[in-house]
Amino acid sequence: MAYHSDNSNHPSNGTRSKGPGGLEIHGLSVSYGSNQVIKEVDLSFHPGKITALIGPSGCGKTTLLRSINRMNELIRGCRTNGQILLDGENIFQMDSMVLRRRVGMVFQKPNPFPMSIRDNILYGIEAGKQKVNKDEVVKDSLQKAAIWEEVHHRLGENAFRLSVGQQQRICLARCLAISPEIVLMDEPAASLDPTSAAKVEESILSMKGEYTSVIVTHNMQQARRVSDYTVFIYLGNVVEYGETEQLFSDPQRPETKEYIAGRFG
Amino acid sequence: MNEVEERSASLHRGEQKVGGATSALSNLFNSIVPLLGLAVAVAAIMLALVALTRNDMEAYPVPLLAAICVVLELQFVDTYRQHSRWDFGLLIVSALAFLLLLALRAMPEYLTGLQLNAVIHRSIFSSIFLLVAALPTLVFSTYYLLDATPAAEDISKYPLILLPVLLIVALYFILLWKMATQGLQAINWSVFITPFKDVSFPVKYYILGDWPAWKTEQIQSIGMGNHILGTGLLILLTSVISMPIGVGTGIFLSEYGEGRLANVIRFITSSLRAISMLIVALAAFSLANAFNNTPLEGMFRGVNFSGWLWYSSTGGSYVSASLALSIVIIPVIVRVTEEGCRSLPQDLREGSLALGVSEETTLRRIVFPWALPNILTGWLLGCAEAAGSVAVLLFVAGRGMYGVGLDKQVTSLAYLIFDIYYGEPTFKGYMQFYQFQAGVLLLIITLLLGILAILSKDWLGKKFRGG
Repeated sequence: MAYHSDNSNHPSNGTRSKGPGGLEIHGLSVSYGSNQVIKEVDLSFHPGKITALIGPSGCGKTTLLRSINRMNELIRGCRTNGQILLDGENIFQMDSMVLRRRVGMVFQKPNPFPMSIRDNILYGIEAGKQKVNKDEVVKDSLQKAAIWEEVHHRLGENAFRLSVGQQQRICLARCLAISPEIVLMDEPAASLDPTSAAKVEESILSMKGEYTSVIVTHNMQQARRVSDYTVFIYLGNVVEYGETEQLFSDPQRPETKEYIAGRFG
Repeated sequence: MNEVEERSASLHRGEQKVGGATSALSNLFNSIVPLLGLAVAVAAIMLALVALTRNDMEAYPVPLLAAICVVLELQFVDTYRQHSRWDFGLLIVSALAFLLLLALRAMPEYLTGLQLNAVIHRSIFSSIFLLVAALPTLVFSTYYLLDATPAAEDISKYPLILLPVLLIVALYFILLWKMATQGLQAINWSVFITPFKDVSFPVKYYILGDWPAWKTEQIQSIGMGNHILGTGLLILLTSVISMPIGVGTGIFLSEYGEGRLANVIRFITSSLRAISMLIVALAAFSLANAFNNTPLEGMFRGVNFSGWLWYSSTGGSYVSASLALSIVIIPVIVRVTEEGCRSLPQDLREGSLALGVSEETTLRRIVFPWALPNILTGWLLGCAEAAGSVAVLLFVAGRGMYGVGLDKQVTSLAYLIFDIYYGEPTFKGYMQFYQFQAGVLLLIITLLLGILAILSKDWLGKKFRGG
């Protein structure tokens, strides 16, 4: 992986979003070694809307998600072909650091850093901001992640001390603090208890309009609740793509029908 | 599993009471035999420990072994009565105890021969036999005392682990005690501060109206001040040299550690550790003499300034000794750093990169703090090793009579202890009274470093890995 130094000059002001980004995928193919996981996928995501990626395990949803912010490059032997355009720019010709500041990611298993909550939130932001901005950013992000009430009085506490659900919301806040244009979420509520899962869904819903969100989920009910558009992916291909309500109530393809009916998963 | 099945089987047979409180008296009655076994086992262990140091307890081991035998057989019967089970392990240990008893009775009081040039008293064997018989008895008795549940099975085996550990700790403390009492009988504190000097150097003096003349003057002072300072400087210098190289290499190996270069480096660093210390000592010596007849001679061979005359020592300076010692310490640092960096969970690394943070910032803010507990522990252990090493200094060290500094002759506390034993008679005459003092001081230094290493791992682990 090429060596990068820390001199990105992309501006970030608090969590005021740069506006939702437009994301298009053209002919994307991803393979690990000789195993092709994503086959010639063409997708176009609506800005400001929430798109859910559903499908059985191992069919490439996470790989597709990770291609969008080029996290697949961290895996050895992973080859990517095709084009992904972020606001018209090809992401493979961008500096990957710049890309990742515009495309944020929340992982399935919460991964807060072993620092204070405040340091966690401020981690992604470039150094050298004024103090006033920092507090604002922290408050803003924590509010957006629906966890401000619970932690505002203990921002200095180590993030490892929080419960799993709280940690995941901290990770979401950390991701929003760099004010990305696109937010990728890989089964963010999968390992959480129902209360935290509900809170995470609440904050995802509040992200509509300000961010373009792509969320991978196994939970079809969650996809129905949260997303505007749904993509059904099976064996590395996009089988169906449409508005959520449309797709769930009247799926066009037989595979989609079977999956939604729970005949395979 | 077997027990559970048996218990439920016996319940079905109606042989046990279900529910209902068993009275305190019946509890006590059921515990008599295990308590007896416990008492006998503890007595046997205590006797064994005492008999190690004395020769006059001859009357007791045999009766105690017999008691162990008897009590185990009693337990065997009692187990059947209480738990409807024949526990043959008890019989086996009882037979073992009986055999040991016979062997002890058959042994003569003093064992000679075996080409050992020494005489072994029978009490060593009685200690060993007692311990061998008493430990299983202890385990069985605890087990039955706690009602033979599966949990009791676990608990009753703790003595098997604890006792040997306690034994070793006890031996260690006996050693420390002997050293302390011998070395601190009349502790001389001033010796720690005064340097050792036994030098003569020429001094000019003037007689009125005559040419200047030379006479030699002698300075003598007894002490180990320079040796102590020397140990400190050695530790400091070795740390300064080995830490940057070691930590850097460790981080490199953990981040980019898959290629050929990384494997070569790993091989080299682990081989460095396998080099015999005497060869490293030779390396130190040749390093010390590598710069002879160059301007750097003093820096590596050590200079002795005396007034305004310059004597070159026959040994080596702190610089060359530290460089040689680093050869031994660097592999340790590399290994602990790499381990520490690798122990970072992958998702933390990914989380940092996914936020658009550069690799070097990730290294600085996530990886390095995570590895810090390991690094500091490794550093402290390296310091302890540097403080205690003599072999490496064998050919370069001296008595540090001209002071402590980068270019002065290297000396250390560990070397002093060696020197007192192998030095010439005059030196021995001066310093032998302080040999144990030096030993105790060195022991304290290394013990403190070791304890700090353990404590720091805990404390730093909490601080940097989320407490």
